[in-house]
Amino acid sequence: MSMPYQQTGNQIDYQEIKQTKADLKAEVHFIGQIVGGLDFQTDDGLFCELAIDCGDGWDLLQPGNNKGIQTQTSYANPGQLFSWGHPFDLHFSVSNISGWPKALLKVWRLDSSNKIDACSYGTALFPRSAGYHQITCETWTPTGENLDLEVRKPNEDLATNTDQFSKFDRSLDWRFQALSFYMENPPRLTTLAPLTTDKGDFARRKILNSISNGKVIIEVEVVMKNFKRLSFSGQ
Amino acid sequence: MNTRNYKKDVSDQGSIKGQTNQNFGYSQPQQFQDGISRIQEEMMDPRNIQPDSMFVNFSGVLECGECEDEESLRIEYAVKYGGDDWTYLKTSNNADDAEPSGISQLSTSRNLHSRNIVWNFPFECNFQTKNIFGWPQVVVRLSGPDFMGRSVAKGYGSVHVPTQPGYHERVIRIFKPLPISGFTGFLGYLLGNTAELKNFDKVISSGEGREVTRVKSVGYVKVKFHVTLVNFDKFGYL
Repeated sequence: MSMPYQQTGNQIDYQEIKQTKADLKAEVHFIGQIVGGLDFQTDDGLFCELAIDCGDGWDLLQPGNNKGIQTQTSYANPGQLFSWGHPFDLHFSVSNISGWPKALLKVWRLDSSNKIDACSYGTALFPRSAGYHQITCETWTPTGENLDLEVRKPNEDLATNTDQFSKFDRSLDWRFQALSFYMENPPRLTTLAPLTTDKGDFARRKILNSISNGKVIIEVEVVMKNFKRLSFSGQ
Repeated sequence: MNTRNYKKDVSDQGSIKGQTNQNFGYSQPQQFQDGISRIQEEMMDPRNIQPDSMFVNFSGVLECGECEDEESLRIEYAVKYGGDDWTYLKTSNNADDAEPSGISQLSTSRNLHSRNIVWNFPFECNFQTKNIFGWPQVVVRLSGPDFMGRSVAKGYGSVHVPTQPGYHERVIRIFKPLPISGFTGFLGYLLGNTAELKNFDKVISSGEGREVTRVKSVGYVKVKFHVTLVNFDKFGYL
Protein backbone atom coordinates (compact mmCIF):
# COMPACT_ATOMS: atom_id res chain seq x y z
CA MET A 1 0.00 0.00 0.00
CA SER A 2 1.27 3.49 -0.64
CA MET A 3 -0.51 6.57 0.50
CA PRO A 4 0.69 10.11 -0.07
CA TYR A 5 2.21 11.79 2.94
CA GLN A 6 2.82 15.50 3.38
CA GLN A 7 6.24 16.43 4.55
CA THR A 8 5.94 19.48 6.76
CA GLY A 9 9.03 20.97 8.33
CA ASN A 10 11.38 18.47 9.91
CA GLN A 11 8.73 16.05 11.05
CA ILE A 12 6.82 13.69 8.90
CA ASP A 13 3.14 14.08 9.64
CA TYR A 14 0.75 11.65 8.22
CA GLN A 15 -2.03 13.48 6.43
CA GLU A 16 -4.17 11.89 3.85
CA ILE A 17 -4.25 14.03 0.73
CA LYS A 18 -7.76 14.04 -0.60
CA GLN A 19 -7.85 14.19 -4.36
CA THR A 20 -10.99 15.75 -5.70
CA LYS A 21 -12.30 15.44 -9.21
CA ALA A 22 -10.88 18.82 -10.18
CA ASP A 23 -7.34 17.59 -9.73
CA LEU A 24 -7.69 15.16 -12.57
CA LYS A 25 -8.49 17.73 -15.22
CA ALA A 26 -6.19 17.75 -18.21
CA GLU A 27 -4.25 20.96 -18.71
CA VAL A 28 -2.05 22.13 -21.53
CA HIS A 29 0.54 24.89 -21.62
CA PHE A 30 1.72 26.45 -24.86
CA ILE A 31 4.88 28.40 -24.19
CA GLY A 32 6.75 29.97 -27.07
CA GLN A 33 7.18 32.90 -29.35
CA ILE A 34 6.22 34.14 -32.77
CA VAL A 35 9.73 34.17 -34.19
CA GLY A 36 9.21 36.00 -37.44
CA GLY A 37 8.17 36.02 -41.05
CA LEU A 38 10.07 34.68 -44.04
CA ASP A 39 9.77 35.07 -47.81
CA PHE A 40 7.49 38.08 -47.74
CA GLN A 41 8.71 39.94 -50.79
CA THR A 42 8.22 43.49 -49.67
CA ASP A 43 10.27 46.47 -48.57
CA ASP A 44 7.66 47.64 -46.11
CA GLY A 45 7.51 46.83 -42.44
CA LEU A 46 5.45 43.82 -41.41
CA PHE A 47 3.76 42.91 -38.16
CA CYS A 48 1.64 39.98 -37.20
CA GLU A 49 -1.59 39.65 -35.27
CA LEU A 50 -2.44 36.35 -33.64
CA ALA A 51 -5.83 35.30 -32.28
CA ILE A 52 -6.37 32.02 -30.45
CA ASP A 53 -9.32 29.94 -31.57
CA CYS A 54 -10.31 26.86 -29.63
CA GLY A 55 -13.29 24.65 -28.93
CA ASP A 56 -15.83 25.05 -26.16
CA GLY A 57 -14.20 22.52 -23.88
CA TRP A 58 -11.04 24.61 -23.65
CA ASP A 59 -10.81 27.18 -20.89
CA LEU A 60 -8.02 29.75 -21.05
CA LEU A 61 -6.88 30.04 -17.44
CA GLN A 62 -3.84 32.24 -17.87
CA PRO A 63 -3.38 34.97 -19.14
CA GLY A 64 -6.68 36.32 -17.98
CA ASN A 65 -7.70 38.13 -21.14
CA ASN A 66 -7.74 36.61 -24.59
CA LYS A 67 -7.37 39.79 -26.50
CA GLY A 68 -4.85 38.45 -28.95
CA ILE A 69 -1.28 39.33 -29.75
CA GLN A 70 0.11 42.09 -31.93
CA THR A 71 3.81 42.02 -32.59
CA GLN A 72 6.29 44.79 -33.32
CA THR A 73 6.80 46.02 -36.84
CA SER A 74 9.91 44.60 -38.43
CA TYR A 75 11.91 45.49 -41.50
CA ALA A 76 14.26 43.10 -43.27
CA ASN A 77 16.53 42.82 -46.26
CA PRO A 78 15.45 40.51 -49.10
CA GLY A 79 15.73 36.90 -48.02
CA GLN A 80 16.08 37.81 -44.36
CA LEU A 81 13.69 36.96 -41.55
CA PHE A 82 11.30 39.70 -40.41
CA SER A 83 11.99 39.26 -36.75
CA TRP A 84 9.06 39.72 -34.36
CA GLY A 85 10.18 37.65 -31.39
CA HIS A 86 6.91 38.01 -29.49
CA PRO A 87 6.64 35.60 -26.54
CA PHE A 88 3.38 34.01 -25.44
CA ASP A 89 2.38 31.77 -22.56
CA LEU A 90 -1.04 30.10 -22.64
CA HIS A 91 -2.51 27.86 -19.98
CA PHE A 92 -5.61 25.90 -20.93
CA SER A 93 -7.78 23.59 -18.90
CA VAL A 94 -9.31 20.89 -21.08
CA SER A 95 -12.64 19.27 -20.48
CA ASN A 96 -13.18 18.23 -24.09
CA ILE A 97 -10.27 17.81 -26.49
CA SER A 98 -12.40 18.60 -29.51
CA GLY A 99 -11.33 21.93 -30.91
CA TRP A 100 -7.59 21.82 -30.28
CA PRO A 101 -6.35 25.42 -30.26
CA LYS A 102 -5.41 27.12 -33.47
CA ALA A 103 -3.60 30.38 -34.05
CA LEU A 104 -5.34 32.61 -36.58
CA LEU A 105 -2.63 34.79 -38.08
CA LYS A 106 -3.01 38.05 -39.89
CA VAL A 107 0.08 39.73 -41.28
CA TRP A 108 -0.14 43.49 -41.74
CA ARG A 109 1.98 45.79 -43.85
CA LEU A 110 3.15 49.26 -42.77
CA ASP A 111 4.19 51.24 -45.81
CA SER A 112 6.37 54.31 -46.16
CA SER A 113 3.48 56.69 -45.66
CA ASN A 114 2.69 55.07 -42.28
CA LYS A 115 -0.45 53.43 -43.56
CA ILE A 116 -1.28 49.92 -42.43
CA ASP A 117 -3.03 47.37 -44.57
CA ALA A 118 -3.71 43.68 -44.40
CA CYS A 119 -1.08 41.61 -46.15
CA SER A 120 -1.95 37.96 -45.70
CA TYR A 121 -3.73 35.38 -43.56
CA GLY A 122 -2.93 31.96 -42.21
CA THR A 123 -4.00 29.33 -39.70
CA ALA A 124 -1.42 27.55 -37.58
CA LEU A 125 -2.45 24.50 -35.56
CA PHE A 126 -0.76 24.03 -32.21
CA PRO A 127 1.06 20.71 -31.82
CA ARG A 128 -0.52 17.80 -30.03
CA SER A 129 2.56 16.22 -28.49
CA ALA A 130 4.67 17.46 -25.62
CA GLY A 131 8.00 19.07 -26.32
CA TYR A 132 9.54 21.66 -28.56
CA HIS A 133 8.09 22.30 -32.00
CA GLN A 134 8.83 24.79 -34.73
CA ILE A 135 5.70 25.52 -36.77
CA THR A 136 5.90 27.08 -40.21
CA CYS A 137 2.60 28.53 -41.33
CA GLU A 138 2.27 29.46 -44.98
CA THR A 139 0.07 32.48 -45.58
CA TRP A 140 -2.12 33.60 -48.46
CA THR A 141 -3.52 36.91 -49.65
CA PRO A 142 -7.10 37.06 -50.95
CA THR A 143 -7.39 38.62 -54.39
CA GLY A 144 -11.13 38.52 -54.96
CA GLU A 145 -14.14 36.31 -55.22
CA ASN A 146 -15.24 33.72 -57.68
CA LEU A 147 -18.59 34.88 -58.93
CA ASP A 148 -19.69 31.51 -60.29
CA LEU A 149 -19.99 29.78 -56.96
CA GLU A 150 -23.09 30.59 -55.00
CA VAL A 151 -22.83 30.47 -51.23
CA ARG A 152 -26.37 31.29 -50.25
CA LYS A 153 -29.44 29.49 -51.49
CA PRO A 154 -31.50 31.66 -53.86
CA ASN A 155 -34.43 32.17 -51.53
CA GLU A 156 -32.45 32.59 -48.32
CA ASP A 157 -33.30 35.80 -46.58
CA LEU A 158 -30.46 38.29 -46.73
CA ALA A 159 -31.61 40.12 -43.64
CA THR A 160 -31.06 37.13 -41.34
CA ASN A 161 -27.58 36.49 -42.61
CA THR A 162 -25.87 39.56 -41.21
CA ASP A 163 -22.41 37.96 -41.02
CA GLN A 164 -21.38 39.10 -44.47
CA PHE A 165 -18.42 37.32 -45.89
CA SER A 166 -17.44 40.16 -48.12
CA LYS A 167 -19.05 43.49 -48.69
CA PHE A 168 -17.73 43.89 -52.22
CA ASP A 169 -20.00 43.99 -55.22
CA ARG A 170 -19.45 40.75 -57.01
CA SER A 171 -19.90 42.12 -60.48
CA LEU A 172 -16.79 44.25 -60.19
CA ASP A 173 -14.36 41.37 -59.93
CA TRP A 174 -11.86 42.14 -62.70
CA ARG A 175 -12.24 45.85 -62.25
CA PHE A 176 -11.78 45.38 -58.55
CA GLN A 177 -8.53 43.54 -59.06
CA ALA A 178 -7.19 46.26 -61.32
CA LEU A 179 -8.21 48.92 -58.82
CA SER A 180 -6.60 47.08 -55.97
CA PHE A 181 -3.37 46.79 -57.95
CA TYR A 182 -3.11 50.48 -58.68
CA MET A 183 -4.24 51.60 -55.27
CA GLU A 184 -1.94 49.03 -53.63
CA ASN A 185 -4.93 48.03 -51.60
CA PRO A 186 -5.61 44.31 -51.82
CA PRO A 187 -8.94 43.01 -50.56
CA ARG A 188 -9.14 41.80 -47.02
CA LEU A 189 -11.45 39.47 -45.17
CA THR A 190 -14.12 41.14 -43.08
CA THR A 191 -14.27 38.26 -40.64
CA LEU A 192 -11.81 35.56 -39.68
CA ALA A 193 -14.48 32.91 -40.23
CA PRO A 194 -12.88 31.48 -43.38
CA LEU A 195 -9.74 30.69 -41.41
CA THR A 196 -11.23 28.35 -38.83
CA THR A 197 -13.39 25.30 -38.97
CA ASP A 198 -14.87 25.83 -35.54
CA LYS A 199 -16.98 28.89 -35.87
CA GLY A 200 -18.93 30.73 -38.46
CA ASP A 201 -19.07 30.34 -42.16
CA PHE A 202 -16.08 28.29 -43.08
CA ALA A 203 -17.99 27.09 -46.14
CA ARG A 204 -17.69 30.54 -47.65
CA ARG A 205 -14.03 29.91 -48.21
CA LYS A 206 -14.77 28.19 -51.47
CA ILE A 207 -15.67 31.38 -53.26
CA LEU A 208 -12.32 32.99 -52.49
CA ASN A 209 -9.44 33.49 -54.87
CA SER A 210 -6.06 33.98 -53.28
CA ILE A 211 -2.38 34.28 -54.03
CA SER A 212 0.43 32.70 -52.03
CA ASN A 213 2.52 34.76 -49.71
CA GLY A 214 5.31 34.26 -47.17
CA LYS A 215 5.48 32.10 -44.07
CA VAL A 216 5.26 32.80 -40.35
CA ILE A 217 7.53 30.83 -38.05
CA ILE A 218 6.35 30.04 -34.53
CA GLU A 219 8.34 28.16 -31.91
CA VAL A 220 6.25 26.55 -29.21
CA GLU A 221 6.85 24.21 -26.28
CA VAL A 222 3.90 22.10 -25.26
CA VAL A 223 3.61 20.94 -21.64
CA MET A 224 0.74 18.61 -20.80
CA LYS A 225 -0.67 17.68 -17.44
CA ASN A 226 -2.63 14.52 -16.62
CA PHE A 227 -2.85 13.45 -20.24
CA LYS A 228 -1.32 10.08 -19.48
CA ARG A 229 -3.56 9.58 -16.48
CA LEU A 230 -6.66 10.25 -18.51
CA SER A 231 -5.39 8.11 -21.39
CA PHE A 232 -5.05 10.97 -23.84
CA SER A 233 -2.17 10.63 -26.25
CA GLY A 234 0.67 13.03 -26.63
CA GLN A 235 2.36 13.28 -23.25
CA MET B 1 12.52 -7.55 7.42
CA ASN B 2 14.82 -10.40 8.33
CA THR B 3 15.99 -9.30 11.76
CA ARG B 4 13.29 -9.63 14.30
CA ASN B 5 14.11 -10.25 17.89
CA TYR B 6 11.30 -11.52 19.99
CA LYS B 7 11.38 -10.90 23.68
CA LYS B 8 11.28 -14.28 25.23
CA ASP B 9 10.91 -14.26 28.96
CA VAL B 10 9.01 -17.45 29.26
CA SER B 11 12.01 -19.28 30.55
CA ASP B 12 12.51 -16.75 33.33
CA GLN B 13 9.05 -17.07 34.68
CA GLY B 14 9.07 -20.79 34.59
CA SER B 15 11.51 -20.99 37.47
CA ILE B 16 9.24 -19.21 39.95
CA LYS B 17 6.76 -21.46 41.59
CA GLY B 18 3.13 -20.74 41.00
CA GLN B 19 3.58 -18.55 37.97
CA THR B 20 2.53 -19.87 34.62
CA ASN B 21 3.26 -18.65 31.13
CA GLN B 22 1.83 -15.17 30.96
CA ASN B 23 1.57 -15.30 27.21
CA PHE B 24 -1.83 -16.89 26.89
CA GLY B 25 -0.98 -17.73 23.31
CA TYR B 26 -0.66 -14.18 22.06
CA SER B 27 2.64 -13.28 20.40
CA GLN B 28 4.80 -10.44 21.60
CA PRO B 29 4.77 -7.20 19.56
CA GLN B 30 7.40 -7.40 16.87
CA GLN B 31 10.32 -5.08 17.39
CA PHE B 32 12.54 -4.31 14.40
CA GLN B 33 16.21 -4.06 14.99
CA ASP B 34 16.63 -0.45 13.95
CA GLY B 35 13.55 0.67 15.83
CA ILE B 36 11.45 1.90 12.87
CA SER B 37 8.10 0.36 12.19
CA ARG B 38 7.03 -0.58 8.72
CA ILE B 39 4.60 2.28 8.52
CA GLN B 40 7.30 4.78 9.36
CA GLU B 41 9.61 3.26 6.79
CA GLU B 42 6.98 3.67 4.14
CA MET B 43 6.38 7.23 5.17
CA MET B 44 10.03 8.09 4.61
CA ASP B 45 10.20 6.58 1.12
CA PRO B 46 10.52 9.53 -1.28
CA ARG B 47 8.22 7.84 -3.75
CA ASN B 48 5.39 8.12 -1.25
CA ILE B 49 5.95 11.72 -0.25
CA GLN B 50 3.82 14.26 -2.10
CA PRO B 51 6.04 17.31 -2.52
CA ASP B 52 4.59 20.77 -2.39
CA SER B 53 6.48 22.36 -5.24
CA MET B 54 8.38 21.59 -8.42
CA PHE B 55 11.94 22.64 -9.18
CA VAL B 56 13.53 23.64 -12.44
CA ASN B 57 17.30 23.70 -12.65
CA PHE B 58 18.86 24.70 -15.92
CA SER B 59 22.29 25.72 -17.06
CA GLY B 60 23.46 26.84 -20.42
CA VAL B 61 26.01 28.62 -22.52
CA LEU B 62 25.54 31.67 -24.69
CA GLU B 63 27.82 30.35 -27.33
CA CYS B 64 28.33 32.57 -30.35
CA GLY B 65 26.49 34.89 -32.66
CA GLU B 66 26.48 37.35 -35.50
CA CYS B 67 25.14 40.85 -35.80
CA GLU B 68 25.26 42.66 -39.15
CA ASP B 69 28.79 43.85 -39.85
CA GLU B 70 29.70 44.18 -36.18
CA GLU B 71 33.16 43.10 -35.19
CA SER B 72 33.16 43.46 -31.39
CA LEU B 73 30.18 42.67 -29.22
CA ARG B 74 29.32 41.95 -25.63
CA ILE B 75 26.28 39.94 -24.62
CA GLU B 76 24.17 40.55 -21.51
CA TYR B 77 21.42 38.24 -20.39
CA ALA B 78 18.58 38.31 -17.88
CA VAL B 79 16.24 35.45 -17.00
CA LYS B 80 12.65 36.66 -16.72
CA TYR B 81 9.94 34.53 -15.16
CA GLY B 82 6.33 34.86 -14.01
CA GLY B 83 6.52 36.69 -10.73
CA ASP B 84 3.78 35.17 -8.62
CA ASP B 85 4.26 31.43 -8.65
CA TRP B 86 7.95 31.27 -9.39
CA THR B 87 10.76 31.77 -6.91
CA TYR B 88 14.37 32.27 -7.92
CA LEU B 89 16.58 30.29 -5.56
CA LYS B 90 19.91 31.92 -4.93
CA THR B 91 22.92 29.69 -4.60
CA SER B 92 25.96 30.60 -2.62
CA ASN B 93 28.15 31.62 -5.52
CA ASN B 94 25.76 34.24 -6.91
CA ALA B 95 24.17 35.38 -3.70
CA ASP B 96 24.56 39.03 -4.67
CA ASP B 97 22.16 38.87 -7.60
CA ALA B 98 18.55 39.52 -6.79
CA GLU B 99 17.58 38.52 -10.30
CA PRO B 100 19.48 36.14 -12.51
CA SER B 101 21.51 38.14 -14.98
CA GLY B 102 25.04 38.56 -16.26
CA ILE B 103 27.32 40.49 -18.58
CA SER B 104 29.92 38.78 -20.69
CA GLN B 105 33.32 39.81 -21.98
CA LEU B 106 33.76 41.97 -25.06
CA SER B 107 34.66 39.61 -27.84
CA THR B 108 35.82 40.17 -31.42
CA SER B 109 35.44 38.17 -34.58
CA ARG B 110 38.49 36.25 -35.64
CA ASN B 111 39.17 37.69 -39.06
CA LEU B 112 37.59 39.82 -41.78
CA HIS B 113 35.98 36.88 -43.56
CA SER B 114 33.83 35.72 -40.68
CA ARG B 115 31.47 37.77 -38.57
CA ASN B 116 31.04 35.00 -36.00
CA ILE B 117 31.71 36.31 -32.48
CA VAL B 118 32.27 33.77 -29.70
CA TRP B 119 31.45 34.47 -26.06
CA ASN B 120 31.02 30.99 -24.56
CA PHE B 121 29.31 32.61 -21.58
CA PRO B 122 27.84 30.10 -19.09
CA PHE B 123 24.84 30.62 -16.82
CA GLU B 124 22.87 28.54 -14.34
CA CYS B 125 19.60 29.12 -12.53
CA ASN B 126 17.42 27.36 -9.98
CA PHE B 127 13.71 27.94 -9.71
CA GLN B 128 10.97 26.69 -7.42
CA THR B 129 7.40 26.78 -8.66
CA LYS B 130 3.91 25.39 -8.39
CA ASN B 131 2.70 26.45 -11.83
CA ILE B 132 4.00 26.19 -15.36
CA PHE B 133 2.65 29.59 -16.35
CA GLY B 134 5.45 32.14 -16.35
CA TRP B 135 8.08 29.67 -17.53
CA PRO B 136 11.46 31.44 -17.57
CA GLN B 137 12.85 33.06 -20.66
CA VAL B 138 16.37 34.23 -21.37
CA VAL B 139 16.43 37.80 -22.69
CA VAL B 140 19.66 39.00 -24.27
CA ARG B 141 21.10 42.33 -25.26
CA LEU B 142 24.07 42.75 -27.54
CA SER B 143 26.16 45.86 -27.08
CA GLY B 144 29.38 47.09 -28.52
CA PRO B 145 31.43 50.15 -29.31
CA ASP B 146 30.26 52.64 -31.93
CA PHE B 147 32.59 54.63 -34.16
CA MET B 148 33.67 56.80 -31.22
CA GLY B 149 34.15 53.89 -28.85
CA ARG B 150 31.01 54.47 -26.77
CA SER B 151 29.04 51.40 -25.78
CA VAL B 152 25.67 51.26 -27.50
CA ALA B 153 23.03 48.57 -27.83
CA LYS B 154 23.24 46.63 -31.06
CA GLY B 155 20.38 44.19 -30.70
CA TYR B 156 17.91 42.35 -28.49
CA GLY B 157 16.29 38.95 -28.46
CA SER B 158 14.68 36.34 -26.25
CA VAL B 159 14.06 32.63 -26.07
CA HIS B 160 12.18 30.36 -23.67
CA VAL B 161 14.08 27.84 -21.61
CA PRO B 162 13.25 24.37 -22.96
CA THR B 163 10.54 22.52 -21.04
CA GLN B 164 11.90 19.02 -21.56
CA PRO B 165 14.84 17.70 -19.59
CA GLY B 166 18.13 17.12 -21.32
CA TYR B 167 20.32 18.94 -23.79
CA HIS B 168 18.87 21.43 -26.29
CA GLU B 169 20.24 23.97 -28.74
CA ARG B 170 18.33 27.08 -29.62
CA VAL B 171 18.83 30.06 -31.92
CA ILE B 172 17.83 33.52 -30.69
CA ARG B 173 16.89 35.93 -33.49
CA ILE B 174 18.27 39.38 -32.78
CA PHE B 175 16.55 42.62 -33.77
CA LYS B 176 17.45 46.27 -33.30
CA PRO B 177 14.98 49.12 -32.70
CA LEU B 178 14.84 51.70 -35.47
CA PRO B 179 14.99 55.43 -34.84
CA ILE B 180 11.84 57.44 -35.31
CA SER B 181 13.09 59.39 -38.29
CA GLY B 182 16.18 59.64 -40.42
CA PHE B 183 17.31 62.81 -38.73
CA THR B 184 16.92 61.39 -35.25
CA GLY B 185 18.87 58.38 -36.34
CA PHE B 186 21.71 60.44 -37.75
CA LEU B 187 21.92 62.62 -34.68
CA GLY B 188 21.83 59.59 -32.46
CA TYR B 189 24.62 58.02 -34.44
CA LEU B 190 26.79 61.07 -33.86
CA LEU B 191 25.98 61.52 -30.20
CA GLY B 192 25.89 57.88 -29.19
CA ASN B 193 22.15 58.00 -28.45
CA THR B 194 21.04 55.30 -30.81
CA ALA B 195 17.54 53.88 -30.41
CA GLU B 196 17.62 51.65 -27.35
CA LEU B 197 15.13 49.98 -25.07
CA LYS B 198 14.97 51.09 -21.48
CA ASN B 199 14.32 48.11 -19.18
CA PHE B 200 14.88 45.79 -22.08
CA ASP B 201 14.27 42.69 -20.00
CA LYS B 202 10.72 43.69 -19.10
CA VAL B 203 9.78 44.93 -22.56
CA ILE B 204 11.04 41.95 -24.49
CA SER B 205 9.92 39.23 -22.13
CA SER B 206 6.32 40.37 -21.83
CA GLY B 207 5.43 41.55 -25.28
CA GLU B 208 3.15 44.25 -23.93
CA GLY B 209 3.26 47.65 -25.57
CA ARG B 210 5.41 46.55 -28.46
CA GLU B 211 2.77 47.19 -31.08
CA VAL B 212 4.09 50.59 -32.04
CA THR B 213 7.79 49.80 -32.07
CA ARG B 214 9.73 49.35 -35.29
CA VAL B 215 12.69 47.05 -35.51
CA LYS B 216 15.10 45.58 -37.99
CA SER B 217 16.47 42.04 -37.98
CA VAL B 218 20.20 42.04 -37.51
CA GLY B 219 21.44 38.59 -36.64
CA TYR B 220 21.30 35.60 -34.33
CA VAL B 221 22.84 34.08 -31.20
CA LYS B 222 23.24 30.35 -30.58
CA VAL B 223 22.44 29.07 -27.08
CA LYS B 224 22.85 25.67 -25.51
CA PHE B 225 20.64 24.54 -22.65
CA HIS B 226 20.78 21.68 -20.16
CA VAL B 227 17.57 21.27 -18.17
CA THR B 228 16.67 19.15 -15.15
CA LEU B 229 13.13 19.02 -13.78
CA VAL B 230 12.30 17.85 -10.27
CA ASN B 231 8.90 16.57 -9.03
CA PHE B 232 7.19 17.19 -12.35
CA ASP B 233 5.81 13.66 -12.57
CA LYS B 234 4.29 13.92 -9.07
CA PHE B 235 2.28 16.90 -10.23
CA GLY B 236 1.00 15.17 -13.35
CA TYR B 237 3.35 16.70 -15.90
CA LEU B 238 5.94 14.67 -17.76
